[in-house]
Amino acid sequence: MSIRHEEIQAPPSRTRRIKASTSRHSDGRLAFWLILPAIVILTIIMGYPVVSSIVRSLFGDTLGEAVPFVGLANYIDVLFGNDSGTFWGSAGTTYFFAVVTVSLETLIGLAMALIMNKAFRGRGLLRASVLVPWAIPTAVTAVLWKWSFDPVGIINSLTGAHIVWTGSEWPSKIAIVIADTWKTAPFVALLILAGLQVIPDDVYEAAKIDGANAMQRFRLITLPLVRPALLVAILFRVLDALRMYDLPAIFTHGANDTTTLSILVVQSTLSQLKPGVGGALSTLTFLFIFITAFAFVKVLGVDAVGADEKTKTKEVTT
Amino acid sequence: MLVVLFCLLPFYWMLVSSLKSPGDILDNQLIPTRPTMMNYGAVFSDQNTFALALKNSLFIAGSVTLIALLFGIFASYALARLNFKAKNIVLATFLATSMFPGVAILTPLFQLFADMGWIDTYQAMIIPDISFSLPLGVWILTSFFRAMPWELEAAARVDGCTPLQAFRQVILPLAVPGVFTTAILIFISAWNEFMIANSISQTPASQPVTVAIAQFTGVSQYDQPFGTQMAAGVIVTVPLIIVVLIFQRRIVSGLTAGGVK
Amino acid sequence: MTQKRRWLTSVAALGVAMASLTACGGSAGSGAQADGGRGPITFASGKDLTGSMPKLIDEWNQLHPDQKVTFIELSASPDEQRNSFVQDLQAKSDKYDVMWDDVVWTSEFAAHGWLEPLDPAKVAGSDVLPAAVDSATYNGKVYGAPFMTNAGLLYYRADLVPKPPTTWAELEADCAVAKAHNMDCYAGQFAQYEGLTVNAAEAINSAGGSFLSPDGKTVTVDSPQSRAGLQHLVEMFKNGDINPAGVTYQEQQSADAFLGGKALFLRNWPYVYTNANADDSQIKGKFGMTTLLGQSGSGTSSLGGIDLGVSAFSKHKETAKDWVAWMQSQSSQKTVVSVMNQASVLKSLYTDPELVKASPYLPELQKSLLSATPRPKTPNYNAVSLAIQKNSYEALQGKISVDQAITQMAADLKQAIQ
Repeated sequence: MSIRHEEIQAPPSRTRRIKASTSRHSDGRLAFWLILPAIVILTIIMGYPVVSSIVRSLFGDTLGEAVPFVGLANYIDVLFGNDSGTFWGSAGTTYFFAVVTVSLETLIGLAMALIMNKAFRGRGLLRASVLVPWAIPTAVTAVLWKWSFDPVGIINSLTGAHIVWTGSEWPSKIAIVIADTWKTAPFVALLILAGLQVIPDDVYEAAKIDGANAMQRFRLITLPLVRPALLVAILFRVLDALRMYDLPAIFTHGANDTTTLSILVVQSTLSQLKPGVGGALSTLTFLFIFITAFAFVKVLGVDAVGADEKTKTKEVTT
Repeated sequence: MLVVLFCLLPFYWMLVSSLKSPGDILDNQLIPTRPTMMNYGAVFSDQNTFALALKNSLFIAGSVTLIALLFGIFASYALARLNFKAKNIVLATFLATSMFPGVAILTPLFQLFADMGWIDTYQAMIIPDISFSLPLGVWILTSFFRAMPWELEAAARVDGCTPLQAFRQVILPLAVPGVFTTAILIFISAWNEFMIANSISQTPASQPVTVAIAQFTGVSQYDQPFGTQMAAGVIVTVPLIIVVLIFQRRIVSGLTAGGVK
Repeated sequence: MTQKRRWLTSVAALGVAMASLTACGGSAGSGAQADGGRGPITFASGKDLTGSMPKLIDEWNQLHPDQKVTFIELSASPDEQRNSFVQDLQAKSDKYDVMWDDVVWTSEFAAHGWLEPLDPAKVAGSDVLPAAVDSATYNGKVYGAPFMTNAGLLYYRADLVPKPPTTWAELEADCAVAKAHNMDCYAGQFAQYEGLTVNAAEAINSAGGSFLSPDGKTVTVDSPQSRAGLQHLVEMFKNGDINPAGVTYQEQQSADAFLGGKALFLRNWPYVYTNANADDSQIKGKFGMTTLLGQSGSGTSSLGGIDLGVSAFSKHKETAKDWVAWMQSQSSQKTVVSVMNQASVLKSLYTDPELVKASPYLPELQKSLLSATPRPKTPNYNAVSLAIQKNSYEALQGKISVDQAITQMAADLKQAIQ
């Protein structure tokens, strides 16, 4: 598999020649100007609020004009205080949702993408219909599913079940997973599809001539080549899933052990007006996600940054 | 077929529900027994703010897509093609900005815009939306550009093209599927953005559809106007489907066609 | 600007180099008031479902052409309304001069220094329901002009239960009728949200229990009375007198059950009357309304309602104060009852023959209002409410015992009011 992988990579020789001819210095300057607009906008919109929220997390939440500096007390309180059970419970819930939904979405999304990539009549319609769930505003889908999962709703009526979906732990979780998977699998599918489009047909032709069957072609060609797109899709889904808010908030208001970390953040920042604790919760959530993403990138070597970065740099220096 | 069913059945239910009168809405009939357009009437009745909201959404999501795409292409070209030291850090930073819980940035952002007098303006929604879509956009485009056959560009430059010409005439056409995929993703996420819009847009003059839908009410404050919300959902989704139908050809044609040339 | 804000700003500026953008602006109000605090103001209310708010405002505007009121209509959802207010108040903006505050926010807003204290002589006169005044009072000062009030009522099927029950025991006995007709006996709001706080508080208050001391500083929930109150609801779930789906019910679902003829009794707000009495209603002419029940006789409703608060950042506070008093006047309040279909805060209107004719439930509602208890009054209301919801919800599901629920509730409440 690894040998094939090498073969499919763009031939390095020509790349190297061109690269070497442009000086690294001017590359750097051009890159600076090209990246600047994106950086500026992110700094204003994300940087400032994030920094101010982290700073605020070091202050207390007493009423009145001057709030006292409390250092890491908010963090200690969240992690080890009386209410720490709530925090760790929601962290567990959040990771449960992230792992289950992202796995399902990846599998279903991959299947969708493979089907969409086949040439047949009505493919356009198929592509459009796959995107429908992703295109409906979240606020509307949440309401749609909430009514569908109502005890007297369409799902119980069609299946003849009498399940109080949002009334106890597992049915609630299952309902949330179903609604989330339905909504976001198309997102994964679209990203994978875009990756599939990059694979030239002649690679498959060659493999067919070599006698590879469909399964082998999928495992040895499709999967390795679609890997970068797949990993980027999963990575962004993980980031999103770890911040899940809408569905549990609308389905259960966080009851039945469906309180996610984002729900805790909203409860403390917006409904209880405790920006100090809220800031600490957001920062902790951020750290959790950061560590997860970092591990993900390291372990799986997401290609947009990882492995082939190094090889290219080496090419230039040699 | 299964895929289509999986995707469309709930949408079908949405459509059916939108055609039922409040009296029938809970009857669980798969085909409306007495179909009515009253929900659609209700959507547009409210002093026509919904039509205005559609326009606002179109403007906001359109601007976001164009600007984010432009900035995204710049940045990812640099990341994929050029050599500079801070590359990994830049990519990681982009990623890190989508790790903070959204609600945590809401309050500081609101204060910032309030201080600038930007509450209830388009730009106060467009700029945050751009920053939400940039990380994903940059990552997708970077991984795309990386997969491009850059030797073709090099060849073009040997043939006397300037770098810009080489990029425009050789690389961009090849990148079309990636660019369109990204555009669709950005457009949809901007079109569906609710949290920021909900706090920034305070009058119908700037309200996008997501906020307008949330404002729908039933006969009392305790009733959720399910049918009306579903009708609005259908109205909001159909333009997106049309856009996708138009653009999906682009997603297909791009590289395979270009590679042959 | 406060110390904190300044510190925050400078750090942020260092970090992001954006000092020019973060310079704190938007402070308002304190300057010399050449206009005597009078001039045009804004008034923000929740979604106006009857379209009568602009008419009231027009009336005022014609009388006061130089102190015009501009109407800002917010979402119908109380949570959304509160978010809008809180965001602007935290930014110290004067966008809303007069705010429509749910009674449970008044203490919180006052504690944050966002509301202007009002003159009790003008907005808490003798004709105003005492419970409503109480709900607008924080630390001995009145921070809102009571404008609308609300209390729960017990709806019953008069065709099946000709004589309504007067105690919980009688209610439970009547459940046999429900079983015979294959209906649920009782419906209320038991999903985990504010409505559950209301319902659980009613059960606990009706049994003689309470949550916090009147000053909001001590937790008092850990008592046999509170246990008895919660036990009543838990038992009805256990016996099947409340549908197991009840744990997902909000106002709408519970009303639907009663309106669809699937429940014998319903606890809900007066608004259900309009639907139940509509021409296409299945139960038109077949239902009655009475006060909520308790262990021995009438129960205690949780008090709902709206106070009109004057923003501390308003530039025209004097106009704002006059306006909220005017909204409480007899003529405005008549509109509240007859057009908006809401409960007035003025006692005298409950016996007004004309109004009673249109809304026959007014006398029962007044009884309910006179005995109603405000929900716990504390600046940390949302944390308190969450503690009540969470623990009662798990008890209703049978996940934990009533005893555990109350003990845990006491611990959570203590944490919440810190």
